[in-house]
Amino acid sequence: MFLYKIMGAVLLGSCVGMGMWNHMSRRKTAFEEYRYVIVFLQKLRNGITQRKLLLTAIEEAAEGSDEGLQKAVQKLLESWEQDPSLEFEGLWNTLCSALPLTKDDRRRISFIGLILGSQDMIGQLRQLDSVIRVLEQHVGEEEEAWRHQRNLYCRLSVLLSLLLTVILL
Amino acid sequence: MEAEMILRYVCPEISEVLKKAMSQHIQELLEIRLRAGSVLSVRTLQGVFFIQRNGALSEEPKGAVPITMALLQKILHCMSGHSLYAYENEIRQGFLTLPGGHRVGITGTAVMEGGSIRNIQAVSGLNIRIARQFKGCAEPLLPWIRSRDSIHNTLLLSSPGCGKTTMLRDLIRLVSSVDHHMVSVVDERGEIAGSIQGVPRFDIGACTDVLSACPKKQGMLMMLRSMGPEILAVDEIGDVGESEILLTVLNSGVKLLCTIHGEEPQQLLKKPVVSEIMQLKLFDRIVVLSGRQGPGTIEHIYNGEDLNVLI
Repeated sequence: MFLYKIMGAVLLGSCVGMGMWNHMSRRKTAFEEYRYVIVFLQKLRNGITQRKLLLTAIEEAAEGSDEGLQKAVQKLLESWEQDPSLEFEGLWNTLCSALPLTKDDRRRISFIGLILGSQDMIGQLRQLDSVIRVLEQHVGEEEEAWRHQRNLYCRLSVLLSLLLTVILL
Repeated sequence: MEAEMILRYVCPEISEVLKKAMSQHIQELLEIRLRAGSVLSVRTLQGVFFIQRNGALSEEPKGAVPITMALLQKILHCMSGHSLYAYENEIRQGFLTLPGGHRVGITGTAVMEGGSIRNIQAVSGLNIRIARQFKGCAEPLLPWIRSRDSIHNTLLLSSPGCGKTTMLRDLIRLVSSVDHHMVSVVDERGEIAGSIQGVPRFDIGACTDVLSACPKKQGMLMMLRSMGPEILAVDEIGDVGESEILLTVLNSGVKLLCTIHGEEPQQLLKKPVVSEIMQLKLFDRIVVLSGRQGPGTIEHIYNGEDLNVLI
């Protein structure tokens, strides 16, 4: 009987721990997706610096990236291939709407669409740098919060497990 | 067909009207002119016409499709593949070349830096010139140009829009494909071969190598050193310092096929830079073209040595 109670307590404690771990993992995946977007924008920046055509630079920047991002880029390229007279801003906004970002960050990236492709290369690069900086800061803060909360949740789950064990005993 | 391809790069409000005009009224489109604050016009073999909203042609600008600066900016963005920064060098020179070799002339406000043009801002006009290939148009010239085992150094001379580049393209094709001479083309503006991603869109012959988007002076020396040409072809010569390069090419035993703006050979002798080329008597044949019976009409062929008329 005593053994069963201990096993039950350990089981309950594990469940609590797993639930919390799952929650933390999901948050981690969210900012990993953010990282894909940051890398995409950095590669795009490099492409523009090398004076590659914007759509080529976008295509190359998406290579090896997150599946969702690659699909969105593919869609953009297909739309443009069908009708080169389409406005870039609209194509870019469609791409941005497929990105797993917060509303504010999506708005920030959508805004770059206004200046991307313009003759003013320095202006474009500055805009991209500024958005990359904001996203990196955002991811940094999220990561810091995630680390802090992970420690908190770990301690909390150990405490809860102990508490349940004591109660059951 | 060529013009329809261009319409892919023009915003829908203009391309729809032009499509209607081309399907119903325009026979041979040569140029599409878009001027901010003015109206849409085209130049065809029959002359200059203004395009009405329903696609009809008119000789008067009244009622024609209006063009705004915003519209021009939009079209320029589409034409550059949303990558104006990538065409900075071309735009600085006042043009950009569309896939297929169609040249778009750009006017606006030049931004100067250190005495040279840095950029063109506030684009106020676009002139889209349709590039075409008329296979066989240079055949009448061939007997006059062929020499015993190669060709004579030949200069094609005409005013803008009279078919110099089209004639040069066909001459290149003929001497390359028919006579099997190794031809190197320095295609600074991408008009001769109409290369897309480096691959010529026009038929310029089986023995032709093309160097695209490279300044002529450097390009001619590069081709001379690396490709071992028998014939070197360049469009629109006449820049400062080109005569020395042309002389270097000739001294290497390579023949020249070139074009230049002008109306008569005698007139070239009065132009500061071009007179240098003429005085050196680099060319054996000078072919004068006009648009009298359509672009590419051969008016005269001169002997380059003494400027005697051959035909």
